[in-house]
Amino acid sequence: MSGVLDVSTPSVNEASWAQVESLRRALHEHSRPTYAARLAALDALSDRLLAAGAGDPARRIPGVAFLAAYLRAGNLRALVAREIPTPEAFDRFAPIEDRKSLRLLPRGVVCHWIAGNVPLLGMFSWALSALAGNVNVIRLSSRQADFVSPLLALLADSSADGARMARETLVLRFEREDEAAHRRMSRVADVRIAWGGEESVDAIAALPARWDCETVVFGPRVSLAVVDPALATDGTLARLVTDIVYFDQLACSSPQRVFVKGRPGHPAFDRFVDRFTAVFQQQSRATPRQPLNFSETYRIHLDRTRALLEGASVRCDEQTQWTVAISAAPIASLTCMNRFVEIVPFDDVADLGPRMPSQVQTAVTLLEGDDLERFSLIGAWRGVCRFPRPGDGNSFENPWDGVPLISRLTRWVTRTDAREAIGRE
Amino acid sequence: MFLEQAAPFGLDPREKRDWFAARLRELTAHHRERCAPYARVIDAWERTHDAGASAAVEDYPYLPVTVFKEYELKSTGDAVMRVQSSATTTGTSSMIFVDKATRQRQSLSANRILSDFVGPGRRPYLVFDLERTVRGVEAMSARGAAILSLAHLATDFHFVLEERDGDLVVDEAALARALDAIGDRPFIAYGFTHVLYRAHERIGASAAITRPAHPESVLLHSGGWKRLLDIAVDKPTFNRVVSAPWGLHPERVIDFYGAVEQVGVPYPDCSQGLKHVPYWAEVITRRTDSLEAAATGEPGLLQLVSCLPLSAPNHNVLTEDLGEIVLEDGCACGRRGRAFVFRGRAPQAEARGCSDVWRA
Repeated sequence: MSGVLDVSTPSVNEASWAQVESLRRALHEHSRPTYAARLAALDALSDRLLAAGAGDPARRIPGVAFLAAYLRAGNLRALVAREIPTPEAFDRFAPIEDRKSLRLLPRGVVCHWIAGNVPLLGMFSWALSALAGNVNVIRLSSRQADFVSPLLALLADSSADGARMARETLVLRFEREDEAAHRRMSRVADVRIAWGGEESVDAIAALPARWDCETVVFGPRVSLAVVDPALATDGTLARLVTDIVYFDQLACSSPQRVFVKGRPGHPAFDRFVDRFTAVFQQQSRATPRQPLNFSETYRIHLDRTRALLEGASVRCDEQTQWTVAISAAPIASLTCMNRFVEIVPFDDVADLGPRMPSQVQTAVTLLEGDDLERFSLIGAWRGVCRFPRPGDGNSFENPWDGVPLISRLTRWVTRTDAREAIGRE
Repeated sequence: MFLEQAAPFGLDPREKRDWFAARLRELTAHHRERCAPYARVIDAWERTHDAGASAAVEDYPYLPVTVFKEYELKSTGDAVMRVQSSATTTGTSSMIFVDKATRQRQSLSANRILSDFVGPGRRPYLVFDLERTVRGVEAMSARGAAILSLAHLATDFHFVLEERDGDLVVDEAALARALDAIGDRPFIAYGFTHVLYRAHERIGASAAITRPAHPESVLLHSGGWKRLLDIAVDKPTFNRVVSAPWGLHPERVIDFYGAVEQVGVPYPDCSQGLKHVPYWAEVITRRTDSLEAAATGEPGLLQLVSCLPLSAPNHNVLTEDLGEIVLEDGCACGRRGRAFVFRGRAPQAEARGCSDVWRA
């Protein structure tokens, strides 16, 4: 049942939606894999991804190494433990208090709208959803390469339970402008998960949905890094740069601005900027970038010019591969995408609060002690959702965007147990 | 600034290259001395480039046109006027500062270029727009500037549109008066592309024009094609619809490309459908992905360079328009030097991924 269905013609459309309903009915079958079996299947998928040869289509998915690490059983178990009192509740009523038991049921059909250029993010939400026992519908745009089917093929090949999970994932492909298909997908959803920019997620959130449908929006966010140069080793510097370079700053978790403790003209600050620029240049050369269109190219040149007109200094290559702008304060008009970083000095972390917008998702921090404590508190109140260390900026975790996702993907059923339970104590 | 005895499109390309590079060097230094923010751009460039006499036109820094919407860049303390572009997709218009000397250069330039296409001598000027578009503040709008760029070819102006319920429509009485005044003399006419088309759709369906125009009359237009492409009107259809009511050959309809950041350098289509670059300007196309100068035949972002602007550093700008250099020399129309085609505005990038821009 897995695979790409073209729903551009009405007849195929109807078959697709019939298939969704057939998946929904399968939710009640007793033969479905247990939580442990699902966990093992995803772990096996991780093994397969790591072992896949260079020619395997799954290996060509950008960021697949992140996904493989994420799917490790130990990682998923830890992410679930952050919000679920006991994973036994996925399979039976499990005691959570005196005379109180909890059962977690899948919500049902979870529909994922995947972001344009960072499609992998959608697979993170898919994995948690599948782990919680839901059936899934993944929408790809007609312009996106089908990166999901190779993953599902590996999953199906790994075990019988994996095959079942793959069959319970339906990939649909339709145009962004095909409003009828979007509406239909929204109406069949028990949970809608929207990844993407403002225009996309607004459009998805505005689609009609059932009153009891959960909607989870992973919308447009910005990210930053805060660095004390005294703590920057070669390793942490390289990992910080990787956080920036890897998804070309198209992922909401990629830092766009780096706040550096110190002042231009001070040796520690200047040395850090030199080292950062060298590593940024090196990684930008080593890591192939997505092809830019005219508009994105123009935007890079525009941002470089804006920075210069504002009095910033700019270090960049002759083309448009990488740019580092060093400015006294954040220049709000800079887009900071496609490997364009703005470095901004600061004296005290207390100064950073007013300089941060309200939609920061990730603040990669290379701070210690009092600085870390004070900055994370200031940042949290400003809206920051996570403070990972360099290298973990793009590692998907739960909660994400401040949303504990397992709870949104499950229906929590409680039961008050009979008094005999107390008597047994 | 203009060479004695040289036609706008008459220089050998090698001769032009050397002459133009020297003018650009002088002009870059001129703006650097007078515009502090621009000086920062040049300073940064000089730190990594050889800015000496060997620098080629392609090597000089160019400003993206968007910065003229965001910054008041001026290279003069003299009284200046602001030319404002129509606010298109962003809703913000460009502000280009123009002093008297620049305005004179723009006028002379436009006159010399357009005369090369429509012939010498002044003629009656039929304007498919409202008179108020060239009065007061509106004269500094893109439409006003485009209308006035042809003023040097005009003996008398005849505005033939009126506003009705917010729409621009043909004022048939004004048109009849204009045609009486013009008689059988050749005239020039101008309108924004979609305005001219809409007007001629109506004129064609009415009996407003009772006799053919003089065959040397010319109908000029500029501005975007988007609204027309949306209703599936292509260039041959456009030329046919606009020329037919006048009994003119479709070749007498001339599309010219221009940017508000480069007023004074219109780029009309020649008989081969190409746009020629006068010796006091240059057009470069920049590759997507790298911004390196594109090769002949390769589409790219249009960079427009001209020797005219003295009052603001808009002499070397990167537009958001796409074009393609077709020839470096030897056009069948007889004009020398580089020729290009305009391919429309670069599509705005769809927001990709879930990353956002910084919001204050």
